[in-house]
Amino acid sequence: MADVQEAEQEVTDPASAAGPVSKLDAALKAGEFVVSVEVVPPRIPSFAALDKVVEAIESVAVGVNVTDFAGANVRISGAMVCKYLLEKGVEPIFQMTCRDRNRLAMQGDLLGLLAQGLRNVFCVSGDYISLGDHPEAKAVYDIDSVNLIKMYNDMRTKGVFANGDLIRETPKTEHVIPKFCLGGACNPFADPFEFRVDRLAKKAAAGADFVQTQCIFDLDRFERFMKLVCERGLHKQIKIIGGVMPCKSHRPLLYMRDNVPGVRIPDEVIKRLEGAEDKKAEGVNIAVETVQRLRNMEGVAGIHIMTLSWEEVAPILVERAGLDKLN
Amino acid sequence: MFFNIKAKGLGDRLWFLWERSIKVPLFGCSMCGQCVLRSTGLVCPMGCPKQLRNGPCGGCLDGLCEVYRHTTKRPCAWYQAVTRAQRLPGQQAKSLRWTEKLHQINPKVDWRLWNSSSWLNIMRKLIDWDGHPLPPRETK
Repeated sequence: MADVQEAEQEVTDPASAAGPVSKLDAALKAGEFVVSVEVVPPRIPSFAALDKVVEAIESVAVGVNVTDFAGANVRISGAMVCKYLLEKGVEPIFQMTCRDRNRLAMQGDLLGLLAQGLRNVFCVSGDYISLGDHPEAKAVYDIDSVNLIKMYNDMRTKGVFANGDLIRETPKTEHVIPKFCLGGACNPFADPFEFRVDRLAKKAAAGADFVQTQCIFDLDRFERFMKLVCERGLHKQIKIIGGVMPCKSHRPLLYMRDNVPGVRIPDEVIKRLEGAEDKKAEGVNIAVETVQRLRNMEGVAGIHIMTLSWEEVAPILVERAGLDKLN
Repeated sequence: MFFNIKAKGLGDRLWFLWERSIKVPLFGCSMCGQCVLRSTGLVCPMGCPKQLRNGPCGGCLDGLCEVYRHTTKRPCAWYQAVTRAQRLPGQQAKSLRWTEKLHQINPKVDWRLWNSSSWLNIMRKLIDWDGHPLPPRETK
C-alpha cells in the first residue's frame, strides 16, 4: 500500500507532465488529421518482405500499426516487427492483444519494447482463437481490453505495475515512469449500437488517448455513431481514427462480410465494386470517397489505412484524398 | 482453470455445491468466485468465450457471438446483458440501477478465486457486492 501512496504523490509532480512522446502523439495533440497504415508481419523467418512495404508507406504514414497474430493466425510476433521497424527509423504502433498474453507478458513485452524505443501501443481484445489457423489452441484472456488500457495507463501515469509495485529495479534504485501513447480499438458496426458509445467512454475513462475503428464501409451507421459520440463530448477526451480499407475487387469484401467478425459491408458497396470495369480503380474511388466524408465529419481525428497487402495504394489514396497537402 | 490448492473444509464444499446448484442452472455460472451479475444485468459475462467483463468485443453482429455465429448461433453474452438490463424492474432503486451499473469498469479477474463461492467471498470480505476484489485486511 505504501507503494501506491508514494505513486500517487508522483502524479502531482510537474516534471511528469511533458510534451508529446511520439510523432503520432504530437500530431494528435496538434489536432492534425493523422494517417496510419497497418502492416501484417511475414509468415516466414525473414523481414525482407517488410522493406518494400516500409518504402511504400513511409512518406504518408505518421505511424505504422503492427498487427499481433492478426485474425489469430501465426506470423512473426508483432513485438519483433516493431523492433525491426524502429531500426529502420519508422514509428510503429504495437497492437497488444488480450488473446495471446497474460498480464506478465503484457507488461514484460511493453517494457522491452519501450527499451527499444517504442512509444505507441494499441490495445485490443483480439479475434477469438478458434477463428484462426490454430483453432484447437487455448486462448489466454487473462484480462480484458479495458483493463489492459487501465493497466498501461497506470504504468505511464503512476509508474506502477498491475500489482501496485513501483517500476524500479530495487527499492533503492530510481523509480521510472515510462511515457507512451496509448490507444484502443472501437467497432461502431458491432451490436448493441448504443452500448458501443458507452464502451468507448469506458476506454476513455481507462486512459486511452486514441481509438482506431474497424474498417468503415457503412458510412451512414458511422455517422450516427459519431453523432452520439459528439453529443456526449467524447471526441474531446479521446481521438477517433477511422479505419479505411481500399479493396482490389469485391471478392475480399464478400469473404470479410461472411468470415471476419465485426465487419459490416452494405450490399451497395459490393455491387458497385462487382459491376465496375476497372475494379482496382473503383476500389480506390470508394476509399477516397470514404476519406473525404470522414474528413467532413465532426470528431474524426484521422484515418487508419488497412491495405490487405496492397500497400502501394496508401500513397495513392492519401494523394487523391488531398491529405498530403494538409499538414 | 485449476482447483483451489487450499484445502477446503466440509462446510465450504457444501456451501459451494449449494451455490453452484442455484447459479449454474439460472445463469450458466462459471463459479469465478467474484460474481459481477449485479453489474451485468443478471447475465454472466464469464459465459463469453473471451470472458470479457467490460462490454462486448467488436465481433458481435446481429446479437450473435463471433465464435458461434456460423455454428450454434449462440447469442453474445453482453448483447443479452445490455438488453436484459433495460428490461429489468427497479431501475431507480439505489441498490439495483441495472443500466447504470453496466457503465462501471469491472477490475481484472483474480484467478485465485476461481472455483470458489462468491457468496462466501463476500462474507469473508475478499470481494465487495459488485464482485470487485477488496484489498487484503491488514494483519497485525
